[in-house]
Amino acid sequence: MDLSGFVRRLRDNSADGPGVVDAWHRTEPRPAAMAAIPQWLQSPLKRALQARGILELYSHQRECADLLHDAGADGGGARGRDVVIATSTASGKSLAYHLPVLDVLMRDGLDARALYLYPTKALARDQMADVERLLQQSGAAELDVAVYDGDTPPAVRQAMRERGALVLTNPHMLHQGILPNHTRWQGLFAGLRYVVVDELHTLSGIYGSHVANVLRRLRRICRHYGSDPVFCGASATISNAGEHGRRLFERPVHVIDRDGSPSGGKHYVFLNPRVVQPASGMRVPASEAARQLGGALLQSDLQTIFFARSRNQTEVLVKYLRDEANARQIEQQRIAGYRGGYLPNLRRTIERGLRDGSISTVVSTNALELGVDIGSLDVCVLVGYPGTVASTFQRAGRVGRRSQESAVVFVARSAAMDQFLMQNPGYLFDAPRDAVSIDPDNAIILTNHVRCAAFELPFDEDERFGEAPSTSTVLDFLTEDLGVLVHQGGRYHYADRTYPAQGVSLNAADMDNVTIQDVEQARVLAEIDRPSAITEVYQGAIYGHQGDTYLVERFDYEDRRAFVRAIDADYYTEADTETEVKILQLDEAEDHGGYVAHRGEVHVSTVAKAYKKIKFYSRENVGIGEIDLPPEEFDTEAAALVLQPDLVRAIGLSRGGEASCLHGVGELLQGLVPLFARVDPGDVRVLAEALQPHFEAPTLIFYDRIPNGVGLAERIYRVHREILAAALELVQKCRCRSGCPSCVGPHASLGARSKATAVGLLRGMLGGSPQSVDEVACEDAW
Amino acid sequence: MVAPDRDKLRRAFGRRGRGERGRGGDEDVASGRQTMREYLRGRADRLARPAAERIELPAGEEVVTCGGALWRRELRYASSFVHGGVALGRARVLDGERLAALARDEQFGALSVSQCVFLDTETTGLSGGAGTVVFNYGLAFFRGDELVVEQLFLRDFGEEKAVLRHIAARLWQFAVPVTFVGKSYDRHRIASRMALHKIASPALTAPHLDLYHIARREYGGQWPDCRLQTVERQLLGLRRADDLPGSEAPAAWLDWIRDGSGAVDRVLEHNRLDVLSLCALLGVLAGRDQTGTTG
Repeated sequence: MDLSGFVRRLRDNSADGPGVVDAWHRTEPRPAAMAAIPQWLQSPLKRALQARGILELYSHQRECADLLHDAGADGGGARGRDVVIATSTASGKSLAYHLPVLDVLMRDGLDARALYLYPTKALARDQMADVERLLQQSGAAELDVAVYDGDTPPAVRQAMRERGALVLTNPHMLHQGILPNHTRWQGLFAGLRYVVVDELHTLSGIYGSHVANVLRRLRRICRHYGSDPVFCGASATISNAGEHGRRLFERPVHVIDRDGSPSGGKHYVFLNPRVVQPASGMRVPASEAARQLGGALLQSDLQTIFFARSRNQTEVLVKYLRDEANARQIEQQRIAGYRGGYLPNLRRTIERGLRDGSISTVVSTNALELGVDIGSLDVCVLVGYPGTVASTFQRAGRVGRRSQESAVVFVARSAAMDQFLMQNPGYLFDAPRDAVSIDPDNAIILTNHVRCAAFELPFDEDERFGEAPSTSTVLDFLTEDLGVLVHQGGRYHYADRTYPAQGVSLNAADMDNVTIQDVEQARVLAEIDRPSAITEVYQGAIYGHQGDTYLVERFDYEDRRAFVRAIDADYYTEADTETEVKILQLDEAEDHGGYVAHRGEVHVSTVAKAYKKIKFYSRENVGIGEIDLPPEEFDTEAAALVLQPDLVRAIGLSRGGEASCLHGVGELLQGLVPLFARVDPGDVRVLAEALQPHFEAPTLIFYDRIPNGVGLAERIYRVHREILAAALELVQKCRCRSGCPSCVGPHASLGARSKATAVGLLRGMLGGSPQSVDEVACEDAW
Repeated sequence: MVAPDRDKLRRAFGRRGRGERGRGGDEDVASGRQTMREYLRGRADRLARPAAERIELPAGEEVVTCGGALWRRELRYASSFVHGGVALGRARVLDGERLAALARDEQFGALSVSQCVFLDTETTGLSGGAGTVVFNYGLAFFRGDELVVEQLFLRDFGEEKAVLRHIAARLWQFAVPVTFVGKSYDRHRIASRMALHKIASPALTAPHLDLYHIARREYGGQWPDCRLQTVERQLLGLRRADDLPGSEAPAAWLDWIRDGSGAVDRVLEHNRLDVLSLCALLGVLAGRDQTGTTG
């Protein structure tokens, strides 16, 4: 079976197939646009290109290299321009910036330095290997190139600080390690000519807002040492790459988005798994549909990548596909899993296997979304919507390089967002769409970084922090309220014993990891981040690894270590978590008739109390167990929509039924939040409670899913009526009779009334004319 | 995006209890037992109270330099002055052979004390980084028969540049710093401050005589630890009475620059004892004149 055969079979919608093709999209092949290797390039680098068999560049590579090129004193002194290059996955973006940067580093010696930022350690090491290869091929003078991250040995660190011509690191290290210690990096900062930020599109939401401020701090320190580096961002093809780059770098950027690399035609197939219960709208799980697809693909020559949405789903799918392979007498080694948590050596082996073709099928989390080199594949199966448009196309970019035809199969879950896309596939393709967004001036994020910046260098009275609207307000707050600065002699000085960057996490992934140890082999099997550990490596859990099953014998929470033993389990485990939200304080309220919207602060605690053993394939529940671990808890900001008695009566919500119906509406709203508030999925969570203890009424609570919050709930408080309207539209358009997983969920308790109730609820909430009431006073809950 | 207003920031940070730290002495905030909200309330109360009595600096002099004013005090001690049980003069003539052996470094074989500056600093934090300020430098060197103790102290942040220039000059003047844990601590802090103010200064790298390393090699196995206080007790017979613990120095200075309430007089006293101990320790470890032993 070749690709067109595979696509044809899907289109035929055979009754025993994995699902129904709801929509179809095809992108046309694009021929290559080439350009000559630039004249200005020094001959060693020309040699390196020759050694690689590169006789011409793609047009976008040439455009990017020319813009970044620094002509130097002899060449008329024109310095490089700030750019964002946004072309497809594997279109050779790194080469486009390596050439002009290395050109200057070779020419100017240690007077010229460069800093590369990658989102992960793995990617930085990948790129370092690439740069070293390039230098080797050029046969040119030695340049010190090194990765600076948590794994860099102290002796190397010292040498890099003094002689590192090119330093590859990540935003976290820049934030906590390099900037606060800039006095030890004088050489780097004084000579800094280029800053390259790769995978720019990953710097979105809260994380991106943090990084934007880290870059403000970087520019401030460069100014101190008298340098003014050129910024280069490399991004996936998001629609607002230029705007995003401008906000991150706070300067005009040249956008390079005319992709000169060739690509074959690409089929986008929107596959909706079959409905198994017409009444409830319940569909075959996406992973089951993916397994069926995988079975068919295993017998073809098509190299396939599956993108799963979680670690657990990845491992379960690897196991299923290996079982499929077994049944077909195909070597199991041809199937691999790939995800964060695997140790670097294993990941390198898998990447190699994909490049040389010894691995035909890989199941990955978002870990393979980034620019790790795995060669070109044929079919990409998205098991559930990745969550953002940018992610979707990054993943899709894993297939169809050069001029081959390729296919992307999007297998929908029953979730609202997935079903919305099945109904509106245009959402993915219709430009323009603001794909990535950040808010660097978020009050809390900004204040934290101004504090870090003040630690690094005192602030002048009239100094502005990047383009932040009111640096002086923040400085006065830090001086007079928090008491960490002193205002003296026209400057604000850091006057505190703390090391502020330590207390500011750019994202949850910064937190310490739990290592997973194989007790029999006495070795570290994998790693996991701490917040995930309570739901994945509790005592009794089955931990999946490359499709094999391990039993967690003990989880030492204090010591951050889990001990596992390989067993042949015929089940996997799933933890049930309970999240409780306590109202701490209410700051604002508005009466909208059917409900009152509040804004305030809450305490969130999530605890895993029990787990289920679920049999592979049949999904039968074959046992339960208790989990004895401390909760993950934090205080944050929230918006609460409290239903009023009249509305509850008017739509006939009776106790018992309320819970499930409200819950369905809550899930629906959570799925829609990213479309309205400029956040990443997962930055905000919605909790639906039939009888919220504080308000004593049915309530929907939206909260920032990050300790202390960063103001997302406040934004939602302002725009929540738009979200309600979109939810209503979606439910009304949904073709199910009485509620389905695509809209408000199948609810036995309300039966046929559940959809009508949800529509009534949303309509009732939107119908009342909003009228303002005074701020609701509330006892301080502390 | 509109500018954040102060009230909003107060609200937002009012619940930032864990992980945030207040300033000197408010350890409850540091440990998370108290929320930042309570801390802010406490601060407001404190501001409302009548101002604490201002702690005056001991007698010293203001020097006007081209880089601005600075505060210093100079204390002179005769060679016969006994610190703990040891006369300071014991360090005046060094046993080079012994010192080179102790320090495991040949270059100290020909060391003369006239090349040495005893050096100890007080800083605003232990974690390092560009925001850690050195607010008190204690230096000591022999001038003729006398040991001169020179202390420089920041009365405000603006004086730092002038102080650093003065320190840099002293480091050019005396090639060999003698410290206690200076190789891993004071050296980096001073280099960082110099870099921040772009002042060219000797980097306190080799030669640098760090007495801590000698003490640890010689006595590490015998004593519970090799902290300065322990070494002083064992080798000098010195017991400090009413000494401000070094760990409280940062808070004292941070309070003092805000409202004059921190016990910086006691910080200066602590620092004075530290540099005297450095001189006495060198005498005990490698002084040629072994008369007047430990009392």
